[in-house]
Amino acid sequence: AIQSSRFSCVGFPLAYIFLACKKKSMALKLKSSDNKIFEVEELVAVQSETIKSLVEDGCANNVIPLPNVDSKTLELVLDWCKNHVDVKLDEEKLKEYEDKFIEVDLAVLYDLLMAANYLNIKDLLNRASQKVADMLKGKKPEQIRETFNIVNDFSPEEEEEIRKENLWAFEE
Amino acid sequence: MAAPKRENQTVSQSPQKRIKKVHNQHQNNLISHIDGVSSNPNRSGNLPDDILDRIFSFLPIKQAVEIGVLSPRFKKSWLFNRKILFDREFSRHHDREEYIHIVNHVFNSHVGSRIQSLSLCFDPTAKEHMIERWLKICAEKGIEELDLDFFQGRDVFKISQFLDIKSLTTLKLVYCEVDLPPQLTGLSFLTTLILKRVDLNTETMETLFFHCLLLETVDLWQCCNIQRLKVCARSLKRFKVLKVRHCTEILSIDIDAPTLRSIYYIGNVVKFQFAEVLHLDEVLLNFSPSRCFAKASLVENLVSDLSYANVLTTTSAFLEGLTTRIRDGAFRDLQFRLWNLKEFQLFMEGTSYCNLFDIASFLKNCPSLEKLFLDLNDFSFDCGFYWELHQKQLLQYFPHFFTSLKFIKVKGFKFQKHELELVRFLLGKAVFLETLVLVTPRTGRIRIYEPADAINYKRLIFSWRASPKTNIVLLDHYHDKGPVQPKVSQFG
Repeated sequence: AIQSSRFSCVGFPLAYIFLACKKKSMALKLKSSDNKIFEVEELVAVQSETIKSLVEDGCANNVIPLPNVDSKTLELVLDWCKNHVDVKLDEEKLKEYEDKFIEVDLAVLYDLLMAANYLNIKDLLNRASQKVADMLKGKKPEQIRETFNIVNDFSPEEEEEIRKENLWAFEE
Repeated sequence: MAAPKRENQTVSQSPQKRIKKVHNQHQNNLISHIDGVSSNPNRSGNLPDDILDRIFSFLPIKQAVEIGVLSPRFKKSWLFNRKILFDREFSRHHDREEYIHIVNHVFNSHVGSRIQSLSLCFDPTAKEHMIERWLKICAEKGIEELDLDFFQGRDVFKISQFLDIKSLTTLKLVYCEVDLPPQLTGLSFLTTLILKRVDLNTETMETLFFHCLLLETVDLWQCCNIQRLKVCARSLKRFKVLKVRHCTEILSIDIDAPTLRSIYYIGNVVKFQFAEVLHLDEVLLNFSPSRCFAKASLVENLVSDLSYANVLTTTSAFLEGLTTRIRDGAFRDLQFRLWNLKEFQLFMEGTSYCNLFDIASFLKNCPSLEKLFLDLNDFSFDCGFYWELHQKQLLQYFPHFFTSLKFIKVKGFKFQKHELELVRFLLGKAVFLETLVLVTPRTGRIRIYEPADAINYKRLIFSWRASPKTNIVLLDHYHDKGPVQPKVSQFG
């Protein structure tokens, strides 16, 4: 429960989408932030929990605007979804695909993370997070702080306190 | 819980834009350093905290705790960590009590719903109840990778019930005794199984092959109890890799695994029995030199099962078993063909009988061979009278050419007489050879030839080429880092 409440913070008002759509259909139309329309099968699109709940509520008849995802990223995300429609078919090929898919530069990885978070696609979100974590492995906190623009708002005493609490993690 | 603070942060940043720019530059460098590809400098800093939290949950536990100093917002991130890794490196820096205390503390504090991996490395004597408790927590949180390294234990650690975990995909055990419950319910998603110094018997392995239908890799290392390994993997659809290394008591390996693609074996010559000829991609047979000649028949039987292998790495003990000798009352060659073999790597072992003639007769049976790697080690071809009187003449009129061979590398080349003969022979027979690389021995302190002779050697070796296009390179051992390297190392 704690997890899910933390991950809902990119809350974009989707209410107006609810008003726009009424009936169910097999092909869904998604509109990216740069106004490109993507037509996809429902089975593919509903891997996004966000879209799925729209469909379930019968609100996916018209074009679904996705103001947080640009067309370049959406194309990638949909490609991922297409390849994950029937997971049980060939897991080995799927793994190969995932490994190749995630070999992108950090900027693309960020876009994917944001999109996967917004669209709520768990496996993509985890895979991309894992990839970034692998890049961070062995980096000092200072380096990570710089990478993500995190400002240190600890007082030196507080920081020392944290170190003391779990001294084992700070030993070389 | 952290979102409002984040906004504060961005607001407080704006007046410092100019400083930030410099920062960004630096940060961009760092990213390109991490990534190898330069990336957009404007995006990297803008990930929301929940995504950062998720990223951090995939860091190894030690680092996850360490990043608690980033900012108060990430102080508790480690409670959601998925990679509880307390490996050998970590155990080296802590005494046993301290180690157990830390692990226990992490498990008691953990609140995340998932634990992906657990690695433990300590002496488990009399701590069974703790391990059991930790594993129970892991099982509830859907653990996928489990690595229990109990090499420091006084006795073999007995592990049974609590291994029966449904969600496991990777299992690595060191110095344990596996006593599987008769009604195995877990392990059905297992894909990788690594057992090192584990007390095993034929039945346990059979049970595992029976239950774990998704197995891809099985790696047995120093499992000294098992004598007969039965790989009954006919109903497995994904089983690809079998590694058996230094299992000293093993006598036979029966393989019934239609999907198997790679075999890595290190140890004494043993009996391999294949249910069918497999299309193997990679084969490593690192046989230690055998003392009795009787084992040669084992090698003879084996080679016909390797007919469709692509890459073969082996030792001279293997070729020794194939040598021309009296078979069925007549002195003759062994009949075999390795149709698909593209890459062959041979390690010469000091105590085996193997000479140029054996190598040549092997190569003539590999019609598609493209790459040849010979590691002469400290081997000196002790060829004897038989070679001088008989085999040498045969080689002079050797009727075969190696028409597919493009690349040869000879490691440990000392410019000795028999080594030069070898090079001369190969250069003369490989008519389309592109490159020959000679690498000096590892013990590079010995001068292997007088500098004044270098020019003569060069002239000599170049004169042996059958193809004028062949490029010949002499490399020092330390500079042997060319683009063409063998696919499989000597140790799998």
